[in-house]
Formats: sequence, structure tokens, C-alpha cells
Amino acid sequence: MQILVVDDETDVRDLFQQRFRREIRSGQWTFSFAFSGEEALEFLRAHHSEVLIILSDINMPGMSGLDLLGHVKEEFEMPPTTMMMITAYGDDESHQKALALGAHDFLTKPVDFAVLKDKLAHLLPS
Amino acid sequence: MLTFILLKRSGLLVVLLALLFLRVGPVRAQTTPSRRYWEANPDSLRQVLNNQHADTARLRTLLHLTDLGGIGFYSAADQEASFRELVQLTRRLRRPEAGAFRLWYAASQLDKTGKEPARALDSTRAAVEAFDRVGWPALPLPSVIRLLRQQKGPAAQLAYLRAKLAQYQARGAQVNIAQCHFAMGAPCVIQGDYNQGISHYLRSADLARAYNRYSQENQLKVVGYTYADWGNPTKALYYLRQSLAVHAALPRRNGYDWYAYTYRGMTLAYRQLHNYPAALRYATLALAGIPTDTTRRYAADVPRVQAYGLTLKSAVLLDMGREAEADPPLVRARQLADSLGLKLHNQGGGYLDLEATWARYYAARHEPARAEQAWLIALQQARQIKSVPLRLAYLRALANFYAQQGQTELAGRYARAGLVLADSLRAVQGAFQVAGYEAERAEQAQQARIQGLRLAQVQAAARARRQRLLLFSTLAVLALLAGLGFVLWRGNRRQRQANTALNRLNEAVTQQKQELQTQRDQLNTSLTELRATQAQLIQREKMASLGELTAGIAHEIQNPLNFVNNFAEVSTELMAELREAQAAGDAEEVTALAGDVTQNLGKITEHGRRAAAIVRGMLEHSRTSTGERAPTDLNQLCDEYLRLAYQGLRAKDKSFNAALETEFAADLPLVSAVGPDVGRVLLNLFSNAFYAVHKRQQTGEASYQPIVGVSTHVANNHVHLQVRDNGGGISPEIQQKIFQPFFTTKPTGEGTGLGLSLSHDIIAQGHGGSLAVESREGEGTEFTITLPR
Repeated sequence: MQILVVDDETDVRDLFQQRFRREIRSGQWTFSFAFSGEEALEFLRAHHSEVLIILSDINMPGMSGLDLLGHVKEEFEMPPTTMMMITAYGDDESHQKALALGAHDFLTKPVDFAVLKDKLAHLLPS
Repeated sequence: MLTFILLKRSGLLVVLLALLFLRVGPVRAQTTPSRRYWEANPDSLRQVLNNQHADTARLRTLLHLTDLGGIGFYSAADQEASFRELVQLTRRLRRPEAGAFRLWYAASQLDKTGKEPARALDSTRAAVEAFDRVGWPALPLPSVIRLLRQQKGPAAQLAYLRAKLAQYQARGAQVNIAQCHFAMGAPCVIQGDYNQGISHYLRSADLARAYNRYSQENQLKVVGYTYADWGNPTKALYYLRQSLAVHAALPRRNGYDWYAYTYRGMTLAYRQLHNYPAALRYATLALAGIPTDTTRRYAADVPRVQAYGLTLKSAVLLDMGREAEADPPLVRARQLADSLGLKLHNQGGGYLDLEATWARYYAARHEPARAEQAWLIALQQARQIKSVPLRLAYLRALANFYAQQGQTELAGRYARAGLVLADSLRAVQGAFQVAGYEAERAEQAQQARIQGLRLAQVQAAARARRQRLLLFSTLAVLALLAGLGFVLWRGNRRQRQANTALNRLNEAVTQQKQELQTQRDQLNTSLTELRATQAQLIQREKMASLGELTAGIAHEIQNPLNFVNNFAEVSTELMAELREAQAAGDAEEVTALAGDVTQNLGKITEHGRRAAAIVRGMLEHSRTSTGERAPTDLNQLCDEYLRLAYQGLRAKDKSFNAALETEFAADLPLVSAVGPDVGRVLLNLFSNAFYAVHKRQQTGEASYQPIVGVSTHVANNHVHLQVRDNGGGISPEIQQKIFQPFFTTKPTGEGTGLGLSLSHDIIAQGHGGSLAVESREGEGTEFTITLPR
């Protein structure tokens, strides 16, 4: 199962790879990484059918996470089943906006990885 | 100088002869006479005088002859008699200029004795002032110039002439202005300042064109000759030919139309062009054109002109290597010069290069001892007349001469002296450029003084009017008071009432005074308060920008802190696993986990530093600037504050998003700057930019993409930082005000209106740079900071 993580901080990759090292090693979950909204769209165009979950930061320079959400909805007839937004600002406005754009979940930084793991496990059949 | 001038030292003759380039206008001062007046034939005019008996007619003719430079007179004695008659006639006819003529005559008599030159100079100067006072052309001015030349150096001559010139310019006296310019040429040239000298001659020629074409012709040939002297033969020939052309268009004047001076100038020019046959042709023409009639006044001038011509012709023959032919004219020139007492420089005619020509003759004849002696005499003469160009020429000639003789030490000494002199010549020319400028300034000052006087006059008139008005009003008031007194006296009963009213009025006045005092105190207090408020506002602006910064910083700091926490947590987990693997004896896993932990520790350190740097930046920003400059990486500073400002706005509006475009010059040098201060400016500019794009975005414009950009580059020894946005732009009217303190377009409470004003101060006063704005409405705004490297 493919999870695409979108964040402009590159160290997010190392963090996820370590946090989910057991799941990755067992082949349970597969993670891909994109460091901007534009990069994420490109990846989706190439690997459209493989990605099931998108985990995206909202605050990125250029195309924001919400923009990405809109583009994905527009561009792909069969969008990934789940889109989760992560933001440093836990304000209601962004939350509502994300949900309105079709996001399935909303997380606030700092990300609690135990919660995230639960959500992913819940979302995806192992 | 004019060829006719100064043949004898007899004073009066010289004085009157000097009038050649002088007088205009008949008796009326400074009017532009018709061409005919100047074209009158001097000989016929002198004839006319013989048959005139009426005082007024004789005076008119005598003045006319004087205006023509006195060339119509039969002899020096004839001229002197005419001068005396002029004085008598002006007195008898009670002319206003009679006093001036009398003074002039007395001065000329003193001058003629030659015993008290200093007194003669003073008297002649006084005569000039007398003519000035009655608004006449300053007839004795050439005599003053000659006396100055004899007694004082070129600097003193120029000082006097400059003062006079300024005076005449203020009065608009064209003839006198031309006269001054013409006289200023010679002292300039003798100091080696040909540039200024020729300029003066040319100005004088241009002015003369309007009133006396003979004068113009004369001045043009002086321009040409001086150019030849300076070493510009092309220009020399141009002006000499122009002079001949002007002369050809004028009526002949029998006996006065000779071109010796012009032809000598052409000879000099052709020698410089190495066209010796042409030079010899004109040298011969210069001698051939001399009139032979010895009965006329100008005959006195003939031997001098011949001495000049013969010397020049010999020089040309020496140029051509025909020294044998040079011998007879040289001998004759020496005889003439000795008998006339001619010197190296004589008024009119330029330099008489006799000794130098002899030196060249002796050198060509291989008589080095006599050549050396002649060169040394020539140098001595040049020194006496203080001629810088001639001294330079002779020093160089001596250096060459000694070098040819193999006397290298002497050659070197003269060459060095020449170099020193050439340097001082350049310095003198510099000084003269300043002097020329000063003359202009003197004129301006004069104009200003006249303006001031006019103003004073107007003011005085206004004052007088006011005083009259006051007088009348006072009289009217007095009348009224008298009436009032009468009424009061009549209405004695009402006295008490009036008294009461007066008391009441007094009270009211006292009360009003108190009120005024209170108001003034209040105003003073308000002013003090206003000053305090202003100081507070400036502080608030700092705090406001700090507030913007804090929001950005909170976000900026959160990311690295998250990483620190996460990597620390995950490392703890990894360590637990590591211990398990160790217990299981899985060495490979242990190594892999240890590697991961090490990597994580690196990440923790990295993000910890990142957070620390942000905090440090904030502290630096809030701290009162020490004002100390340090080498600053402006690229880094821009990047840092761009992000901070961006996050600052996003802290307020979470949905806001903009594209950030950075274009940093890789070769940007470190700039000596107060980092926190420049940071504050950048933060302000970025905040404004984000504010602008945000506002435009909120208008709901379709397909609008907010962009804020920053670029740096180096050009012309300056570093340029450009902050641009594609917001709504600023209208030209507002652009003029944005740097004013307390000007803001933001709603009340949102901006202090001090941001750009302080930014401007920081850049302009704190760093010696500039802050400029360029904006178009509907397109965006660009601020440019320019800092010296």
C-alpha cells in the first residue's frame, strides 16, 4: 500500500522512515515522498493508481496543501481514497476549508505518530 | 595689440592713439552709432575741422576724430592741440563731461613727464571714474592699462580690469565691456594663459562687430596672431584671413590700411606648418606693405614695424637654412631696435624675437660662444617682462643648444628649469579658470545688489505709502476722539455709566488676557505631549514590527522543535531495539541501528541550531541597535526576513499563500551594515509587500497569483536589494508621501505610519544609501535599497 507524504521539510522523509521502520521493513506499508505540491502532482500523474493515501502539509511555499487537494480532486477521476492534511496552525478555518475541499482527516503539528499509526491502520487493511 | 600704438613714449600721443580701440558713439554715451560714423574718412574729417569755426561743430568733429582713434591728426603736436581744445570746448559749452576731460588732460600731462608714474596712474584712474560717473565711455582706460602694465604685474592688471568689467556689465555698457575684454587678453597671454587670453580677444571682437567694424578687424587679427603664438596655425590662419576679409569689405583709409601685423601672424603660422616658402612670402609682404609717406603721423610707427618684419624674415631664412641671406636684415633690425629703444615686448605688434633670432643665426654660423650669449640675453629679457611662454621657449632652446655642444650638465639644468616652469604654467592656467569664474560671480553679485536696491526702493515707497495712510488714519482717529470728547463733555451725566462700562471692558480685557495665557500654556503642554507621543509612536513602530516578527518566529521555530522532539523520541525507540538486537547477538542489526541513532543525533543538533538561530535573530531585532556595522551577508538576511514576514502574515491569516521568488547574486560581497537595522527595513518592506498582495487577493480577482520577490545584485560599486510584489500598486500621489512620518494607508490601528519613514532614515542616514520606490497601479510595487559596498 502506498502512502505519499508531501512536506517542504526534507527531513520528514528520514523521520517517517524511522517512525514506520517496522511497517516498511515488513512490507506492510510503502512510503513515497514529495517536497512540494507540484512535485506531489507529478508523482501522482506517474503513479496514480498506486497511491492510496496522501498525507500533506498545508503550509508550503508555492502550491499549498489545500491547492494540491483541489488539483487532485480536479485532475484525477479516481483520487486516492484518503487525503489527510497536516498543519502547524490548528485553527478551525483551515480545518473547515480542508474538509470542504474533500480532505478526509486533519492533523495538527507536532504530529503524534502513535495517533497517525492508528489512523493509518484503521484506514488500511493490513 | 594694434600696430599703431605706442611708438614713442610721449604720453599724450599714446593716450590719444590708444583710443583706436575705444570710443564709440558721438557725444552721446554708449549709443550704437550708425555704420557710417565709423566709416568716416579720418583725413577728410581733419580737413573738415580746418573749415569749422562754431564751437559745437568743432567739438563734434574733434570727438569724431578721437573716436576714430586719433588717426586723422597730422602729428603728435596736432593731436595734443586738439586734446587741449576738447577740454576748453567742453568747459565753454558747459558739457557735463567737461570735468572728466579736464581730469584726463591733467593726468596725461603728468603722465607725459614720466617722473611720477604712480601719481600718473592714480590720476588717470580718477579720470576713468569721472567718465564713468557721467555715463561716458571710459576714454582714459587704455592709458590706465598701459600704466598698469608698466608698473604692475599681469595679476594686478587683471584684478583692475575684472572689477571694471563687472561694473560695466552691470551697466550694460557694451563698448567698455569690449574694451575691458580686449585689455584682459594681453596679461593672460603673458602669463601663458592663451586659452583665457584668446577668449577675451574673441569676446571683444564679437562685441565690436556691432559698433565698429575696424575695431572688429583689429581684434580678429590679434586673435589670429595669438593663436599663431600659441602654436595653433590652422586657427591662426582662419582668424587672420577673416580679419583681412572684414577689412576688405570696409572703405579704404589712405595710409592706414596696411597689414604688416596680419602678415607677420601668417608668417608665424606657416613656419609652424613648415611651409617655409609661404612663410617667406608673407614675411616679405609684411615688409612691402609699409607705407613710405614720412609726412604723416603714422610714419613714426614705420621703423618699429620694419624692425619686427626684418627680424621675422631673418628667422624664416634661418628656418630655410639660408643664413647668409639672413645677415643683412638682422643687422638692420638691430640698428632700428637700438635706435628706437625697442624691447622684447612692445605695446602693439607682439614679441620682437631679435636676440633669439641672432642666437639661431650664430649657431648656424658655428659661433657657439656668441650664440650662447645671445640666448642668455633673450632669456634675461623674457624674465624681465615676466613672459612665461617665452621663458619656456628659451629655456628649451638653451637646453637643446647645450646638448648639441655636449655640455650635458648645463643642458640638463635648463631642461629641468623648463619642466618646472611648464608645471607652474599649468597651475597658472588652473588659477585663471577660477579667476574667470570669479568674474562671472562678481557680475552676478552686482546684479543681485541692483536687485536688492530696487527691492529696497519698492519697499521704501510702500513704507512711505503706509506712513501716509497711518498719518491720515491718526488724524481721522484724532478727529473722532475730539468728537467723542465733546460728546462726553456734553453728556456729563453719562460719565458714571461710561466709567462702569470702561471698568467692565477692563475686566473683560484682563480676563481675555488670562484666557490667552492659559491657552498658550495649554499649547505648550500639548506640544510637549506631542513630542512624547511621537517618541512613543516610534517605539511602537519598533514593537509592531516585533509583533509581526514574533508570529513568524513562533511558526519558524515550531518546525525545528518538532524535528528535535521526534528524532529524540525515535532514537529512544531505536536504542531499545538496539539493546534487543545486542541480546539476540544480531551484530548486523546492531550496526544498522547504531548508524540510524548517530544520524538522528546529527539531525537533532542541526534542528536545535536552526531554532537557536531564529531566536538569536529575534533577540537581535528587538535589541536596541548598537549601531555598529559589521560585514553582513545580505542574501542571507533577505532570505531570513522574507520567510519571517511571510509566516508573520500567515499567522494572522492561515489561508494566505503567496509564491516567493528569490534571485540572489552569488557574487554579492559582504556589506558593512548594521544587520538588525537593515533587517528591520527588510521586514518592513516584505510585510508591506505581503500586505499588498494579500489585499489584492481579497478583492477576489480571478486567476490572481500573489507573488513577492526579492533579488540582490551588485552594480557600480553599490549593492542593490529589490523587494517587489504584484499587489495593487501605489498611486503617484501617495508615492510622494509614503516616506513621510505617520503616513499610512492602512486602517486606523493597523499601521503606525512610521515603517517606511524609519526605514528611509536607517538606509539614508544610517548607511549612506538610498531607498526608492517604483510602482504602477494594478501592476505592483518595487522598492530598491541601494547601499555602498
